[in-house]
Amino acid sequence: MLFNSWIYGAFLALTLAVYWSLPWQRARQWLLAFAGVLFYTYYFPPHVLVIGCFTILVFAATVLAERLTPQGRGRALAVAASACIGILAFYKYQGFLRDSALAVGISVASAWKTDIRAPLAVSFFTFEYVHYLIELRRGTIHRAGFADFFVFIMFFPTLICGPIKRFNSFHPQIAHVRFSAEELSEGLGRIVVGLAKKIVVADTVARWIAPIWADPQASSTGLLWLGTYGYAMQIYFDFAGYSDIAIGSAQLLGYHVPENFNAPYLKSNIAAFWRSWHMSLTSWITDYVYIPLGGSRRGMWRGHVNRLAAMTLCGLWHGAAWHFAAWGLYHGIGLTMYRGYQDLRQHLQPGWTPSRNVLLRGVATLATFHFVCIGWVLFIKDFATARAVIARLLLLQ
Amino acid sequence: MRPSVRAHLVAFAKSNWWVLFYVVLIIACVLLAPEEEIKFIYTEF
Repeated sequence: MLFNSWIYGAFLALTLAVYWSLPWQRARQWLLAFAGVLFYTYYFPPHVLVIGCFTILVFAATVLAERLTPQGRGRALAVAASACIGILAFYKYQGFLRDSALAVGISVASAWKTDIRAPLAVSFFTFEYVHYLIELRRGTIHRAGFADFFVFIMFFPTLICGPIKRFNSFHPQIAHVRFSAEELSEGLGRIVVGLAKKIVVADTVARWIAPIWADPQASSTGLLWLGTYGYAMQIYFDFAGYSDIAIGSAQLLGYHVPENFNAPYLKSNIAAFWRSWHMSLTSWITDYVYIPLGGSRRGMWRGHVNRLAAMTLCGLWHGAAWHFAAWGLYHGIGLTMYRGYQDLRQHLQPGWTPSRNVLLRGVATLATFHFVCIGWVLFIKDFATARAVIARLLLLQ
Repeated sequence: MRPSVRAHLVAFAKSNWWVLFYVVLIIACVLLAPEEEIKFIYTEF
């Protein structure tokens, strides 16, 4: 049930009609859970059992953990969070691990069977499990009842591609959902804008650039640049459009979910780009990977290593292939270089802040955009093809 | 077109430009929608 399909429009309209006609908050909550199950079932029915079972298991782990001593509770929640990462690794990365093991000569790996179909959105819902378990361990949230936790995970507007929600901002809304014509109007407007981003811009550009990326070796350097700019536009308008529809659909149900984009291509440095591109993922990686690794608190070099590690993992989250890891590492190197530049300027000129000169900022914005564009080549193509295309883009071949 | 009608239309467009913009977007979506649905890139992840 894609957001840009008539069936989703009908599903949303029917859900809204029943949802707002129910007089009890609790009934609305259960309807929302039921709608989430239906929405997920539509893609591949057996997988609703998988997500259902995992959600019950994670909930059971939190109930059991509550009965333990504080130390045991922390350990149990850490084990549960690790198990969730294990679920993600099992479904998403086993083929990748098998192929990588075979590539380095571990022939035993050929015995692994890797034809298991990963449940849809496994990358998203496991991240929400992990966030919930870690925040429970940190004591920043209280354990929710099953209905609240189930709605948090199965909330259909964000179930497939996010934005990745935070329990502490989602949970208080459950009991206070109120119908508002203003929210309804804003939500509808957001959906229309999102559909336009997807259908009018992203899909149109996708059709234009498809021949270029089908055989990049046959295209001239000029066409490759056009294809690269085109993909930059396609992926932004595709995912920003998706996020708009998700946020708008949530608003129709009376919920506010996190924003995912804030004009990322208009930022004048790579750190600002990452603060405004897929913001819900960036903040997840920052909170649950980069900061636990030590962030930049353990010295300059350790900070750089942590940044590179976090961004490589961010790349691998997008797909189980080396070119995704290379894309993440590429951005990690960009972030490290920018941080190094900032440190150097502040060392030479204490109190230094980035220039406010319009011309300089314009040049920096263009440079950042082109850095991101070249990165997209690593994202689209396998490593060998991407390397050849980048060499041609930079006139190195 | 009579000036009074024109003035009404301009006033309507000025006060409802946001709604009209949405109408244009919806029409563009319907006209440009590909016959075969194109998946969202991130649903692949």
